[in-house]
Amino acid sequence: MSLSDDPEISVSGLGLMVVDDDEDILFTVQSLFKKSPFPVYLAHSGQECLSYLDQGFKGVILMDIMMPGLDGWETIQEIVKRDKMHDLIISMFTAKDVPDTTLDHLKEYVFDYITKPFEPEKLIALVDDYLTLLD
Amino acid sequence: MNILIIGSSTGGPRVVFELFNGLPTIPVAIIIVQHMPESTTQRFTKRLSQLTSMNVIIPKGGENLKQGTVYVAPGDSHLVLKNNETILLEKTEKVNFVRPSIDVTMMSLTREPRHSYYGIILSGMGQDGAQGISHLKRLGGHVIVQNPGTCIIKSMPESAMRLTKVDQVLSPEEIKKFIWSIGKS
Repeated sequence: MSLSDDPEISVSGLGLMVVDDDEDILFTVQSLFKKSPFPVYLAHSGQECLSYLDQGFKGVILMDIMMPGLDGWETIQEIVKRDKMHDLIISMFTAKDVPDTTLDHLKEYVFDYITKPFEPEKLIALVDDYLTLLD
Repeated sequence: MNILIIGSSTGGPRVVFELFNGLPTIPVAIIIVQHMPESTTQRFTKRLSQLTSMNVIIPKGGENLKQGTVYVAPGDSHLVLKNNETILLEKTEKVNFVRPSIDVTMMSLTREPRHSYYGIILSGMGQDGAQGISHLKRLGGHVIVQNPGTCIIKSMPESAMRLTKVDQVLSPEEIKKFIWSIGKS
């Protein structure tokens, strides 16, 4: 789903956003949540994630770390700077096992860490749980 | 009084929820220091109150600790225990890059024969809680870390283990059993 295709993005309601430059990952997650009652937004970059937030996105964000342009941490830094943390739960979504501890100052904004490859059932349960938390 | 301080960061909330799921009211004052933004505190607390029959509150400052109550340190404030039982919220500098800091809360305690101290460090990034656990241990407290092998992020428990000979290294399930057992001791 992209912004231009979806004029409903600015309405209230919670959703899931996956931020990843890997098209396969985006496709897999989208397929996994196809039957979910909430919308799933796919952002190919940190910049696209910020655009969704500007349009009023609220919900759970699965954030890849290594992306061209703004990486995951830089994107979170920008989210905090723009005061957009309200109504968001961010989980890093990464193949990287060991987090970069030089980014300690952002840890309070990261609720969870989900590593790829992920177990589909576990991912669904976690996203459902975190959305309930925001509800 | 039994006083338990639980320190948690990234990857910790799901463990905290597991620990409190079905927890009856036990004679322990529990303080949770979870690294989180202020906007998440209310939701985190609401979820906890749905999981346990204990009284779960976000202190405003000035409360005296009571057994049977869970106190969630609000985002963007340090939680300090004055005279080992009165909660104060402080907007002083971040410690270990965070506010609330686990170290700040744990290190505000002093030796007090009337109290039994317990400290637990769960999953998280960085080293917050390591000094605090060391301090609690020196005060005669019982200190536990989540088994790093069960952590989403293991650096916080590992830092505590590097600094202190902790009493126990436990899985979330074992920590849950331990918390229940405090109420029975």
